[in-house]
Amino acid sequence: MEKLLEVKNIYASTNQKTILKGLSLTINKGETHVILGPNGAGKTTLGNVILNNPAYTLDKGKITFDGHDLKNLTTDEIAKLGVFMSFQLPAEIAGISTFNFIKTAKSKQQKNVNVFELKEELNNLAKQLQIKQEMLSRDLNLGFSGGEKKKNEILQLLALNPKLAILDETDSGLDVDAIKVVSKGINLYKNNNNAVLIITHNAKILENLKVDKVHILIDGKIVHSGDAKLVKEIEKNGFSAYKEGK
Amino acid sequence: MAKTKVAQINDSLYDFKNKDEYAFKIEKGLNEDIVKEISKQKNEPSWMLEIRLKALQIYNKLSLPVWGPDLSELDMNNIATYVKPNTDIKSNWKDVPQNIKQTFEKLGIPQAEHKYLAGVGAQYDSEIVYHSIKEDLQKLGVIYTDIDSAIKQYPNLVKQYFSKCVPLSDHKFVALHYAVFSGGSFVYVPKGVKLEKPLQSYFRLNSPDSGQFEHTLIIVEDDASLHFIEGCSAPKYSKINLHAGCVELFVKDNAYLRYSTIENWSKNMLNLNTKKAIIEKNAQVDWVSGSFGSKISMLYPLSVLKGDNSRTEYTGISFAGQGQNLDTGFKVIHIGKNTSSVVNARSISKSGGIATYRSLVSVLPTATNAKSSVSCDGLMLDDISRSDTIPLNNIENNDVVFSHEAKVGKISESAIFYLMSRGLSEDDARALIVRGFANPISKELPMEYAVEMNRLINLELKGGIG
Amino acid sequence: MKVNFTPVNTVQSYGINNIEILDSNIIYTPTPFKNYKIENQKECIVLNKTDTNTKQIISPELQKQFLNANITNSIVIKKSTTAPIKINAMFNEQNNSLVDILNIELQNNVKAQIIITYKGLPAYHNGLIKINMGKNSVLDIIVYSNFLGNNYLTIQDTKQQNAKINYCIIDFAQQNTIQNLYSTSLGENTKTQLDTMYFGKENAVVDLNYNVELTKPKNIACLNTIGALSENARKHYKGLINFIKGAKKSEGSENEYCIMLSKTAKSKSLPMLLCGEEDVTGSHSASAGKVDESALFYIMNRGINKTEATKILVGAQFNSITKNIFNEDIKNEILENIDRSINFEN
Repeated sequence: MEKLLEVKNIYASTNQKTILKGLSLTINKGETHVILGPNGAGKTTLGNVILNNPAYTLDKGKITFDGHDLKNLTTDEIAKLGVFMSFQLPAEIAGISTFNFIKTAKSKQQKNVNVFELKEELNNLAKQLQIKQEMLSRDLNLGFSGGEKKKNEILQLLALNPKLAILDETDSGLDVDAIKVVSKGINLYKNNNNAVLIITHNAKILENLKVDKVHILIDGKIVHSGDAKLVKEIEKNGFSAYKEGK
Repeated sequence: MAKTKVAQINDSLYDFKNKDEYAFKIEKGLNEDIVKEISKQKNEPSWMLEIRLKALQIYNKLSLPVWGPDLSELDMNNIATYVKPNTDIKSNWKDVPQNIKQTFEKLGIPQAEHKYLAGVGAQYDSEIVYHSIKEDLQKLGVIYTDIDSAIKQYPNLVKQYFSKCVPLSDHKFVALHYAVFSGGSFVYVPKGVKLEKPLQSYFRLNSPDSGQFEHTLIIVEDDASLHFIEGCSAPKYSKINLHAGCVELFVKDNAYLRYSTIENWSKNMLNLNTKKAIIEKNAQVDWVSGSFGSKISMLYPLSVLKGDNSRTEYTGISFAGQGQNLDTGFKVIHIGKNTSSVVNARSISKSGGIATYRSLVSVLPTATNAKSSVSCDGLMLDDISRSDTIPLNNIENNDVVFSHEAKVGKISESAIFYLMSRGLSEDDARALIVRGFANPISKELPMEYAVEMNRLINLELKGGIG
Repeated sequence: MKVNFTPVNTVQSYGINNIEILDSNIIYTPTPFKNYKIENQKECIVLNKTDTNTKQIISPELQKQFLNANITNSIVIKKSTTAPIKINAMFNEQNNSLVDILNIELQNNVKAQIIITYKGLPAYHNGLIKINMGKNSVLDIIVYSNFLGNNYLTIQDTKQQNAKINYCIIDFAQQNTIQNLYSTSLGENTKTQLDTMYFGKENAVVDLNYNVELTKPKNIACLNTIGALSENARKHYKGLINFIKGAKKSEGSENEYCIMLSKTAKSKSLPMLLCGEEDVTGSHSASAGKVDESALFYIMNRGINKTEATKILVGAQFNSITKNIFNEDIKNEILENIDRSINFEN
């Protein structure tokens, strides 16, 4: 089992408030992890802290990715190491098309990007994700519906092919069909060498995925871990059993 | 303004004492003799000299505008010396500042062009290109020449339009311009002729040091269409630090004119340009403008929507960096019925630069069913710069759909984080967002200008233009 | 008399800055005014001594008139008010010229509501309201004017940390309505909400000069001016939001909407944003014109005549301000007035 991401007992805060209070997590290559938790538990904070969003501070603890200590690295350096986050609310950037953006991001990983090959690849992926081709020439996320934005994140995931995909509330605001498409995208991406961390408070998206480990995040800490069966249990009984320490 | 007394002489004028005792004795300000000499050298007809002298009178009466940037550093006394024909102030390639020379390289401009743009030599390559363009145009009946030649070859045509768009008394620098103007483009597009390729002012043969007081006169007849591009992205350097140009555009019924400008005067220049278009029935004028250089700029193109159903659009960006005060904007006057104006103005301020958007939208009582929408956006890249928006809206007819909106702020941190999470460095993320911000303007320019504009932006962001 | 010089220079020929108004009617020594009532001021200290020093003035002539003010009051509010303090000036034949100075001070942590009204028969009014807001204080203030005559209003506020002030200034202008407001903050996290409504009729001249400074971190300002002009009325609006360096994370927004109900009404507006600080959000929007034709058509299609339909649409626009009026009586009175003002054949 090769370790990919190791989070050791981290404390993290934002806006002068401590959100993560001693969170630990290990993800190995080939695994799909899920973090479930009620709103406000710190789920979005985790993704942001791993990618060193300057709006958050890592107060205590250590995060290692693929053998590298992420502590003093900038967001783009971490991204280039192979960490990808799919945002809950992707930013809208006027003035650059989705295609050109992906081309630019790809060129940060590899020197020469063949434009024609990339175009073909993206058109192909767009088809599989039921994304209209004209979306590729529209300004990045500008005026996209919630569903279009989320699918666009998955498109980027497949195009950039990172080592670890952190999917932050990827399913929120999506209808049933869109969720199916997103799951399909995740399955397309997943293989034995990469890993997926799905952060969500709603278990719908997990129905079509093979989940290895499930963690319950409450009040900034992982209070319980289990296997895929834990998902059904939470769906049925909610989080109350895990709040206030069981 | 009273004529300058001898007591207020600027020291540097003593340098010319020996060569020019006559000028030294009379007045240090602009005087009739200098103007007469300019006209004589050009062999102008008497009606042109009359215009120059009248303008001189007006110039001496008007005072400096006080509502914009501080222009007190402009040494009006020295204008006289600078406009004299056969002036001793010729640029020498070795005098051009090092950082300007470096900029040419960074912008990828070939050797010969460096010298041309620095006002040193003639642009040999473009002379050949220019001649071949001229032949094609002649077949269509299009006149494209410099204004001095036009005055001689087409006097009636020029006389009919010259100074009828921008009046001599518009403001002090227009009066100055009319008194001493030299060089500039004259374009006449006959009825029904639609030019596919844009005409670029850059291709005309220029003599060194000219361009300071250029007069551009363009007439687009009924049903004709033209795209005219002025300026270029390379920094225009000159020892004379005032550019008081004038652009007059006459666009007749059903005609179309697109006037694109990229200005990148060197950072010692005061760029006080006056541009105006009179737009007749069903006609349209689009302005596309990128302002990057100069120390102080005052640039407010004006569209007069005279004819019914006339339209105008303005898309512009200004980038004010260290030591710069770019006061730009747009003016439109709705006179005819069913007219429309659309303005999309953006500005970027950085390193202490001041970007001011100043505009006027005026809907007169005759302008029934007018439509106007203005949007201005100021992007601040740090907290030592300024971005000011001063838009004046004058609505005198209630049958109007008018809206104006403006925003100012900095690059969104969440946008930077998003881009960095895709592997872009912080600098790259900022540059991408800034280029995206400038995108509405760059996409209106022909490809090579857009590319140059993007390069300019990158250079500005890194603080590297002279 | 020239009025309202805005701090930003503009080209004089545009006629929006420092404009000349006619029949300014200045009375330098007004007679005593007997119809001025202050109610519900039990918890406050009311003194006679006032301070007329303001950073901005409408004009030197009007400023001079303050030296001979016939009503001066200094109200210090030490405890939060349980009922709104009501200040009412009622104009009649014997009391038709009022020059009043009002200094209002809210001490720390005090919440207060004040309603000031100027109504009645034709009159002349030149008033100055100077407000000092202590830390964490909150003031809701309505200034409602409805009379035929010249109405000059100078307002200035200074806010300490966390202070919040909500203005609702309403004027049914029939002659010259000239307002000059200067608002600033000495501490962080303040909020200034300025809701202004005007209705200009006949030959009214409405000149509004607002200058709101955001000086410290997290200062918020929101200017919302909605008005209508009928007949030959004209309006000059100058609204300045000025982000001073240091006002990090401040927000300023400005919205101005003018409904022009006649062909001869004139609207000039200058919404200005000056920004010397990057970490801010500033925005403004302005629009002017007649009532939306498609909306008018839609309403008329339901059997409602044009005047009624216009009233509904104008009222709907004004609603964004009237809905925040915290006093039912005033609110109803204003709504009735809007109704009456649009009672003509368009």
